[in-house]
Amino acid sequence: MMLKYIFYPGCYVSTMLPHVEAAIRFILKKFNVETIELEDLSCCPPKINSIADELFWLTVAVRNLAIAESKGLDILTPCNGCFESFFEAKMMYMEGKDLREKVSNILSKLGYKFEGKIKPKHLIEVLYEDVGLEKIKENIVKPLGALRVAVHYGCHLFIVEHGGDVWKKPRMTDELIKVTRAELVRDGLERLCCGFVPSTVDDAFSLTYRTEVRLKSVKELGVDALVTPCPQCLMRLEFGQVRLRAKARYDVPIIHLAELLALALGLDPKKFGFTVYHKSPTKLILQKIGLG
Amino acid sequence: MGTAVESASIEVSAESRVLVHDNSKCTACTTCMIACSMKHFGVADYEKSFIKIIFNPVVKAFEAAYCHHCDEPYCLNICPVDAIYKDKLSDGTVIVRISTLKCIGCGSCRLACPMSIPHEDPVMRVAVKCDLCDGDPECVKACPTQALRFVPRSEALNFLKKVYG
Repeated sequence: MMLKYIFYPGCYVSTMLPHVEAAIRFILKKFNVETIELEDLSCCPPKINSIADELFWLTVAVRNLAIAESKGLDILTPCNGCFESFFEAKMMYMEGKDLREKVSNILSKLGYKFEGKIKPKHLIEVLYEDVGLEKIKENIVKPLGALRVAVHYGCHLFIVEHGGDVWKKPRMTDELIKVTRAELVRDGLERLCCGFVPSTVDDAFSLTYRTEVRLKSVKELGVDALVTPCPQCLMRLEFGQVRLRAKARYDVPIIHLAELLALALGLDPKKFGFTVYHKSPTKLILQKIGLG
Repeated sequence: MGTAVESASIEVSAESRVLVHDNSKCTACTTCMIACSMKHFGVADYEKSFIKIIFNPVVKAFEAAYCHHCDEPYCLNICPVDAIYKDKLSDGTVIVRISTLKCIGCGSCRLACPMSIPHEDPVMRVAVKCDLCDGDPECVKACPTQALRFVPRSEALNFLKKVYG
């Protein structure tokens, strides 16, 4: 059976991380996952907007879900932030609180209706649950056994239904890393916030007490790369290193989980700009796996 | 509501809900702090937040400091002008509140509190602290990892005993 989704790359992947988008598209194509792209979709928008204006956030997020539902397909997103926004919006809307009536009134005037028949899916869930770990394993052509990597999950990956298992998707992430044969090394700070959200309030605090803390810890682990399934974490941890250079050099290669999988599945790193677009020394990874 | 002294006799039942923080799920993203200051002051400012996330990278601790709305609040007992009182919601939840109209900003409540939770608002020059958002805490709604929950006291106590012994 062919898998088919509405593809929602999110603003960071589609505008600032072309290498990550290329890797994601390669993986999806490899496993015959068909993606439909819709021009009508807008910004998710990030869940943090709900703190300032809950009605605005929920209306825009549910509008996107309604558009996907009109096509009868689940939304696939590789972005932790977009995933959280859609997941919480659906949960809040379907729980039938006061806001639901207000949102459905606005949407009905615009010709949209959402009944909760579709669900948002993170790339990790699609790969782990729908494609299947075994199928991915069978297709590994370049085992990355030479690599020792650390992982950075990203706060918004933990989102689940009330009382659910918040560690479910982080565990899936671990499995997807291990399937490439890379060795996963731990430092106990895998769940630490990268500093992206705090940077909107106090950038200096966030850089020193979140981004640098994680970079320092990973540096001490002596791993070959830090792998994250979150575009925001990827950018924060890469740009953070550049900004901290006057103070300290960390030189920790940061890559997206899709890039790690794409390498293991045989994608030529030159074909997706693996060493071109990164702000961290990803060339070191290629040297380690004999492709540099 | 009667006087602050009268309100002190309001009993806090096991069903009264309270905040509880699970340090094994917290990522120190501080979204709760942003949500709190936005709700109460309309700005994203860590200094103004009534909940504080304390992350210690050395011991890898993800802790939170917040008002526990005590059964017998030291802050209520020490307040010289009876500005602190207990307020019972319809669902039985008891909130220990500070009246900003009565408070004289002496700081006694901060000294008396075992966790120094009440702090002086630099604009109003009076003590301020968590009011549980009148029974619907924004910090809990904003937490992406369900590390913060708003649960009956009995459940919170059992959980905290398990974690801290």
